[in-house]
Amino acid sequence: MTPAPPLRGEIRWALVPHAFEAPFAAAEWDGLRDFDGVAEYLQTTGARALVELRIRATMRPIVLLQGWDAAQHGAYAVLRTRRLQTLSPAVRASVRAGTASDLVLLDSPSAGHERVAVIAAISRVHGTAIDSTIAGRVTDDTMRLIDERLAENLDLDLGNAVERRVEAALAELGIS
Amino acid sequence: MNPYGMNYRDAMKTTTKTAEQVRIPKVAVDEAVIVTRHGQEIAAVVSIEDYRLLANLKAAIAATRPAPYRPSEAALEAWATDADEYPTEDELRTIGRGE
Repeated sequence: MTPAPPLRGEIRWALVPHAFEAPFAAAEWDGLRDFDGVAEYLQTTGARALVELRIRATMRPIVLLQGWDAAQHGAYAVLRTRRLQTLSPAVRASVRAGTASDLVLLDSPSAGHERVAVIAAISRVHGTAIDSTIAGRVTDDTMRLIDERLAENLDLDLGNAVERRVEAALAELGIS
Repeated sequence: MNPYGMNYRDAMKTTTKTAEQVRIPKVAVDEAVIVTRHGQEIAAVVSIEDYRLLANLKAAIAATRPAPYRPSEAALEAWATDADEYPTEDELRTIGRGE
């Protein structure tokens, strides 16, 4: 059976890279280098040198922010999730109370574990690093909440976009 | 001046004419008179109260900006311990099985 293409709002397991963080290990050099050390390496070997950095990645359920139609370049925008029980009691309480606006409790537990989407943990993951099995789905209401929190997290000024959508909606109703 | 630091007259291009210069119908609050030319609606006459309300709404929308984001303590903890979370054995059994 052909695996179903990833869709927005699905929860799937993926091999998710974490952010680059010094000190950097690479196949090209022994030991570790800081940022200036990598720059020095590039200056020595030529600016076109390809550095294959070793970065930390974990197998983790992710919430797909894009479906295959929006990710035709192959890489999907996703949010990493955390098992709720791995967080401290204080954090769990704030998640359940809804006071931690940047942690969203997911309504589709994966393998029986409650999970939260970490709004700040936005990653790009290639389709080849995403499991073909659908582990769960986020409801439309929760996706809308995630979208809103993402806009807050990134300080996105959506004023013009909202105005255009309101104008389009009014025009559709014949009210413009 | 409204709370958005903008005079309501600045929110819309506004010209002022005396009542002697134009013939205007009387309109009450929440009423409007639509003016047509060759069957096309070209203008509306509303009360000064409704005009101020509209202009202030436009000023409010124009002044709306997202509040700067500050991560919650809970999110900072989730981030700090993120790389330490690994799949459980029961979770690992569900991965890579296809549809």
